[in-house]
Amino acid sequence: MLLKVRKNSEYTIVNAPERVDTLLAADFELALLDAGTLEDYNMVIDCSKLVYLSSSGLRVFLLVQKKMLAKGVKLSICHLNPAIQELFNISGFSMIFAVYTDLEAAIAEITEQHRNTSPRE
Amino acid sequence: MISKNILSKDFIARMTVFSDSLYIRAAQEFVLYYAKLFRFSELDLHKIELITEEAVVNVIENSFEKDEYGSFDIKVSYKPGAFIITIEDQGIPSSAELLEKKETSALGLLLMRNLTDEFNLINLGRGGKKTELIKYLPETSIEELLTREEKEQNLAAETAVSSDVPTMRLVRPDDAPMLSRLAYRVYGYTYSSAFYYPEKIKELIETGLLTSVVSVNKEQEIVGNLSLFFEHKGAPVADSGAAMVDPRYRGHSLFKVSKRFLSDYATENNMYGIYSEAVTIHSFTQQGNISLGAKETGIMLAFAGENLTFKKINNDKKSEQRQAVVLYYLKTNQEPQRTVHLSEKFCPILSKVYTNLALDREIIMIKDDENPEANHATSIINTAVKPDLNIAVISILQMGNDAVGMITRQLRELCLKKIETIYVEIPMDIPFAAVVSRELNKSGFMLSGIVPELRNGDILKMQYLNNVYVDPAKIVIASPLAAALLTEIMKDYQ
Repeated sequence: MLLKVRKNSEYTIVNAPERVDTLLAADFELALLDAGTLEDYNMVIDCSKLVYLSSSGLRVFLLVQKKMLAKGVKLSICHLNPAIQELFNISGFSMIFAVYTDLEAAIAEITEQHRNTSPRE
Repeated sequence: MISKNILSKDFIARMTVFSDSLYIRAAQEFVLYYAKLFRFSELDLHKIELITEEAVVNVIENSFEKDEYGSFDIKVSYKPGAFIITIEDQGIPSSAELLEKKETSALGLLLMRNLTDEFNLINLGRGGKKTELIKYLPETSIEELLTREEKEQNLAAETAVSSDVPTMRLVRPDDAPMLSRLAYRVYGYTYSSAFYYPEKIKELIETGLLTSVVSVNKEQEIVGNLSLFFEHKGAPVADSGAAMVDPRYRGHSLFKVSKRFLSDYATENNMYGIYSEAVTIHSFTQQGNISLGAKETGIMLAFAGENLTFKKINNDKKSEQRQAVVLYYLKTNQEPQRTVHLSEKFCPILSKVYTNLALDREIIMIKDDENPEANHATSIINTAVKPDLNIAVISILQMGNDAVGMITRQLRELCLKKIETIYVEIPMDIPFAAVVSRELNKSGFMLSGIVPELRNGDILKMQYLNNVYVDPAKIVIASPLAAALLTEIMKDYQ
């Protein structure tokens, strides 16, 4: 699975595909791991194009977050449509993940945290 | 459009597939094709697509051994007001309890439960298992059908008083639009939903799930209604409700005469009786029931939302808390002799209820130190959520030794969904019923009452309040027995 990925020295932004179901979940997981967890960067998954997510897809988010937390970096999610937001609420994922309304808000938060945690010169 | 002939069949369409993920998309497309014919919204279609995937994946992953090419059926069917997706397999036996413990299936199960209106996972023993996903059909509200003139007429009607005496007759399917107009005129938009949707009423009448006595004035307008709701066509008891009297015709004793009409109807049609719920925001309906010979059988706390109003009775004022209702049973024919089993705690008050009902019953009290078992290992339960009232009813259809566990797990999910009041219905024909009620009582379920002859026997009703405040002083009670019931029930309120 090819995902659009943008990187800088503070974070990686990954665009989620339109659909993550049982058949695509494994590919999505591999693509996310390739994009984010090889380096010690925070990652934002931009879900503005995501319209269908099943429990297999939800589990991918969980697995990736687990791996990233082990490295001391954070996974943020933004731009959930109302139907997907409902799934996050039902499954309790809204409380597990940092969910932002848009990409700007997610980046602002990461930048702020990065500033606070970087060693002072 | 789907013809009525097909809708009345056991299923609309059936598809058999192998247990391989290759068929997930095909199953989804199959179900969506028929769901679209029922005009579901885009959001509901999305949910249907998702729950179909979850159900199919659940069967593929849990019903067959790895590399075993079993097959299973996907059926779509219809019942009045609902679209049903059924997945049936003859694979490895399983239960919701087992699946919840598996990391790979728990999340899918959670989504299925929360995105359906009703969800059933039924273990059929050697027959395999059945997953039922039920979505209620979209409805056309009467508000969309009313013209501006009709809305203005309704407003004018509230202040007018009519002196002509309406006549009464049984409802006909083509009365449905007029009944919806009546509901709107009487309750505005504060009543439970079915009566605002003419097509739904028509369907219920045609399928034998509803009958009504309607009051008709000289202009052939329906100005009063009282309905009987049946669990299935030909059921020997029915729930009386949807009492509506056009504000112009209040003071004509239409409710009382309608109730008598339905009582005669039940007697003539060999029904054992009629049960009903009377509001407690005032005592008129309770008094009406008592004067007709109906007997109190329980109290359902926090049954209706705070916003239920009665035009011209409480001046459109909202209730200050969720409203309780008193349950009544009106015997219309001699019922069969039955044995009921009560827990030590509930036996004294329910014995009083039974004595007052004068039914042919043998009451057996199961002491607290007795622990009889069920005849089955597994239970079958059905959970129906009523979104308009924000309540849920869990019915035990087959009592198994796992009943308490199944109900408490279901309760937890309903509480997370912020359902305010959860009722459970327990058949009392076996001694294990008393054990279930005793254990559920320890888990926070309070007594509610009984419903005679509901499902080939009497049902014990219990209730759980999900952080709902109840002030008993604001519950208007019309009789000493109902007051005693309330006192007993409130002893468990914390």
